[in-house]
Amino acid sequence: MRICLSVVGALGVLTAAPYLADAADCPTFTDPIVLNGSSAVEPLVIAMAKVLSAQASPTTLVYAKPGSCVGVTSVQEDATPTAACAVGACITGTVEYFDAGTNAVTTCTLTAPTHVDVGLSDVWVDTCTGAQPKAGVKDTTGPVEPMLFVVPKASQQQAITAEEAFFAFGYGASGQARPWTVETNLAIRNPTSGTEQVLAHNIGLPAGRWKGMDKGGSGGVVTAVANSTAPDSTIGILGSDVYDANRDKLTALAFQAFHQRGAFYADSTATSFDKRNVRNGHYVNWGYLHMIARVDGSNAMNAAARRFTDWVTGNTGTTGTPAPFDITNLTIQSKLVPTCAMKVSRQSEGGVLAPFRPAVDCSATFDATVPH
Amino acid sequence: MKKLMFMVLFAAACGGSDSKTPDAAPPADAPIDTAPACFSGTPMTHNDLINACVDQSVTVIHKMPVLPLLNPDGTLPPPP
Repeated sequence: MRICLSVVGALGVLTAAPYLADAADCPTFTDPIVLNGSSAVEPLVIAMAKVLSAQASPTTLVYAKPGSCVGVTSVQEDATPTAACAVGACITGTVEYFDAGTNAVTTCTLTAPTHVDVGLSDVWVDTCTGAQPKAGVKDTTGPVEPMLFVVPKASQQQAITAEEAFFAFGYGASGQARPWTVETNLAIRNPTSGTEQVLAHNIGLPAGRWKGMDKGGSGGVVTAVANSTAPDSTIGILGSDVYDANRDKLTALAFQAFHQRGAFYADSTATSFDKRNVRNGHYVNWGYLHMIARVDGSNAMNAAARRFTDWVTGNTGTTGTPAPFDITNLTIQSKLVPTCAMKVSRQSEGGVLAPFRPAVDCSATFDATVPH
Repeated sequence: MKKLMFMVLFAAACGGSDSKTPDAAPPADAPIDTAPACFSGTPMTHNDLINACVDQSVTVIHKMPVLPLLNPDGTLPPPP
């Protein structure tokens, strides 16, 4: 128990220090579902949390966002999910939830180690651990999350090739990938970040070898890039959902993959929101949201994990859990791409793309919903 | 250093457009028709998909960065 506290608590302090001073101890949550991991998926979590908190029988999404691989670990290592926390499992420290009373996202401090129902990861388990999920752990894939290279609004840069990114982030100043040669102006994350891992796999540079300044989370990257006083040499990495909420401060770069003849935005143009190039394969920097949960001997998740994964995957029929929202619309509004709007798929991190035909095509809904 | 970034406005089925000025103005003598051909069939492989032709509503940016550390054959050196 004590080791669990120290390991996870240290991560909490590292990634959420700005909030600790204001975060009171958490209240007793109503019907909590505990989520831990990716910060890039925060808009979807908050959108769901807001609806769930307003129900006659509310559910509370309790969300910590120390990074994808921390989320994976907290579930993988939770070998005693109904007993004391194993080493590396559970969370303490700062979490957030949607408070229906104040109608706002609220942070608080979990003072006791708390089991995680679902680890949220932007990457496959093996990207974090180097191995397939352990026995008793299930990975359920959800919507697609595009990852972006972003620059300040004042930057004149429009595109980056995979080779440029390799030299900029792999070699820093000596890489001579102008203008991105100032290592203190490379706003990155760390190897536990799904955003960094997805991009790493698409530029051929292991996430552990990136040069730059770890900004601790998506919010830190937004702040660092937006406030840079050297816009042309500044570049950062973000999930597209976070970028879409900060387009007034940032510019996303088009990306040219290895063996690709031209650079493409995630969207069809610099100003659109249609994710057309993600959906048809022209923009390769994307991964699936992975929901990591413990399963019992019958391959069944606990009730909280099952409800959450059913809601996100849209499995709300006879075998699933009814949801108080239309998850396709909520996913689109959260600037992610439901798989039903995808025309390509992949089976591994940064792996080859293949044509994909969803069972039920929601492309028309997607195109009708996103801003034009 | 002479900046080599330039944009090509594709035509017809391989088209794309972008109205923003890049970080360097295209040289007056910059070629405007050197964009490699896109894939026009039904894309089945990864390379087909990433290079499939797009219509003129899609922005395509052609960039030719100078990267001195590339191997002579254009491949990447090992990660540092």
